[in-house]
Amino acid sequence: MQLSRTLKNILIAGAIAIILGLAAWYFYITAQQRAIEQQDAARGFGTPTQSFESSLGSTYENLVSNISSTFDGGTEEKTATKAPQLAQVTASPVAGANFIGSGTSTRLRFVERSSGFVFDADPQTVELTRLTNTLVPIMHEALVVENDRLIVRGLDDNGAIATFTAQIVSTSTSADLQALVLTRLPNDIKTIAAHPGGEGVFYIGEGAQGAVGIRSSWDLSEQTPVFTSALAGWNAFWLANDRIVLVQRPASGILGYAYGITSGRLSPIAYDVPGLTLLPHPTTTALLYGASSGSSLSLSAQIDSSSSAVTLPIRTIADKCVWSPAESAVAFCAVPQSPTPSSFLDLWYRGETHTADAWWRIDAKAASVELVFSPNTSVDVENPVINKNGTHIAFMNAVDKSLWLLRIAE
Amino acid sequence: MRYAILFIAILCTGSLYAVPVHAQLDFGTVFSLAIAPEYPEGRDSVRVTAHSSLVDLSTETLIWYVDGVETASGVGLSEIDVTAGPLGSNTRVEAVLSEGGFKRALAEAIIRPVAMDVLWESDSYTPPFYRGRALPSAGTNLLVEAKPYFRNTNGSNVPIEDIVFTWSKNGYAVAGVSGKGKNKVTLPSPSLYGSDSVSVKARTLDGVFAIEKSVRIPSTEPLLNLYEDHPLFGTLYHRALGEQTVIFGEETSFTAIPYFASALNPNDRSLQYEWSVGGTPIENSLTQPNTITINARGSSGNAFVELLLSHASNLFFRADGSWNVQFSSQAPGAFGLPFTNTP
Repeated sequence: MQLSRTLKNILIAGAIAIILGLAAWYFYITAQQRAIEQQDAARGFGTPTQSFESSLGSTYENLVSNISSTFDGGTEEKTATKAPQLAQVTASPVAGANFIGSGTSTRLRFVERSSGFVFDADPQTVELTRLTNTLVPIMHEALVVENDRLIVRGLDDNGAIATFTAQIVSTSTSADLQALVLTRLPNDIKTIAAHPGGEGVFYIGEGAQGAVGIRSSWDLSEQTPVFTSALAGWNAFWLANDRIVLVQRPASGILGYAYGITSGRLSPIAYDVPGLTLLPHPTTTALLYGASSGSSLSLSAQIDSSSSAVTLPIRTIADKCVWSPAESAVAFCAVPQSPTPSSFLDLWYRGETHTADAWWRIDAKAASVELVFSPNTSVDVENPVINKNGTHIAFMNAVDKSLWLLRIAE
Repeated sequence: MRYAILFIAILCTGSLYAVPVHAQLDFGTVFSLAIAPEYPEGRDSVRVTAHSSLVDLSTETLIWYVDGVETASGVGLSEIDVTAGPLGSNTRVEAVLSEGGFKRALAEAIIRPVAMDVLWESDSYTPPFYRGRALPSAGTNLLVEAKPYFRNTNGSNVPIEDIVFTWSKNGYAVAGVSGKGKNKVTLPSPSLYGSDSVSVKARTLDGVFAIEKSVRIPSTEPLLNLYEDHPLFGTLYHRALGEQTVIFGEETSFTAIPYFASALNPNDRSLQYEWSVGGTPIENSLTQPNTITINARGSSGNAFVELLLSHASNLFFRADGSWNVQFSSQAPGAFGLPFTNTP
């Protein structure tokens, strides 16, 4: 009996000890978890559970957790309402953007500069969807084309320009996020342009006697030299009519030239223009070109190759313009609202000056201009693109590389 | 249009045609045509002038034909204006010296529009993704390319390999760079504060086509800009630091970019960076001497950054800059605006 009572007490004491031990372990683990969460929070990892489970992912959530404060109501509320006429798509710097698809399926696709992640934005609501989970850090440039294809450009460890063709592909590991499959092109490509449909690339690389322009299939299996030059400094466009346009890189007051390459034949399209910036029409031979010299800044339009150019009554550069796909010979240009400094083009390219732009509509046939939108906030427009319906223009703000969306028609 | 026009044939200079139409020509008459300007712009008005060393044309009757069509005639009419055709066309201009209904002499010119672009840039340094032209500074090289457009009437272009190029600089022929098919040259850039006139003459072997063009190329002083080197976004080439700049944070790296310098990259061993902060010289990074990291912890938050850049072998190369950077603990607010500056 005595033995039984002793055994009973031992068992009770043991049970109590086990319970206390478990309780202590629970509190210890809880404290550790809290400490870890506090450390994570201190590092900025504020929403780990939501991040991993959402379509946007942790890195993006961390990045935009600061951004949402700049939006009206933050990301979640933004998705529920129609975007204002001018909306900031993301305050995080982007490498490049373009509209994909058409009609109601139109999306604004962009590449985040810090991560190389690809996102889609709904032009109506500016709701964001992250598409890829392949980390490609610090992308300086990105060209976005159809068929889930992109060109992304950054710097390698030696400071050389690294250029990749990229394809968004589905993976078996994630239902929501896809991979970005990269194919590296030769180093130090100065200029590259993508076929609008993603069927190929044109780039200028180093050749035996200077620069050589290569027209390549997307997978780089077929490469054809179509252009050689002693000069490497060109900006390139690949137009929808399979025409490639090369514009010599400009400097204020220095004569510039532009050429079209069709079927391997080089033909001049603009010449002897100081500080030449040029925007070819994607489907016709119409041109917008800017001239910059000293404090002079002008923009001219030419509706076809046989017509004379007319100088428009606005002072801007062709880099800030985009042709409308919805109207013939109509373009939209961002125009500095204040006088620009002397040698503006050079200063702007070097990031030494910025502008506060308003949007104007250009009728090249009538040589007339009309103010479309004057924003309340200061935006320095660069790399503008327009959707196929001609209702939205997206552009980067050269001040901070943020991405903006302007609605110009319903 | 910029198509210059080549007047390739001034015929009948002391010679007369032994063809039926010229049967009545007065042997011994020297009669020729000249155009002005020598290389006029395409589709512009070209002035064709008749000359004779033996005949006083002011008292003679001249009949003018353009592509076989009589366009003008009159006593003393020794010049006419002709509109040049497009590239690849031939415009035949004839002048007939007439006396009493008889043709005494004939001169002929064929106007073939040609064009030539002369393009140039420098091999000076510009940062990656820079969209502007690389400009020449002392110690760099000029890359010059001539693009002549000699178009035959069948629409084909005369190949570059069949054209002789003669290059000159400041009026003097440049040895070793001229010759057949040599439409690309590399020349030393103009000296500091100077400018060079580079001329190129292009001519086909048979002399049918020819043109000459010159460009004046000024020298540029190297330019030193400072940019933030951001850990997430890389070097922020789109925002050069102004004289007064506010940086959010305690520690920031900066990268100096020597625009138009004679260097392959900003860390070229020939470039010598001399940094100082608040007047105190700073030792350079061994691998990236163009980069400096400033930690403002425990300091007033203001940093006066000075940089002097020189070249190991080019005594004319010198660039400097100074920037007043204020470090602020205040949160930047928007994610994408790491600093502000005041140009």
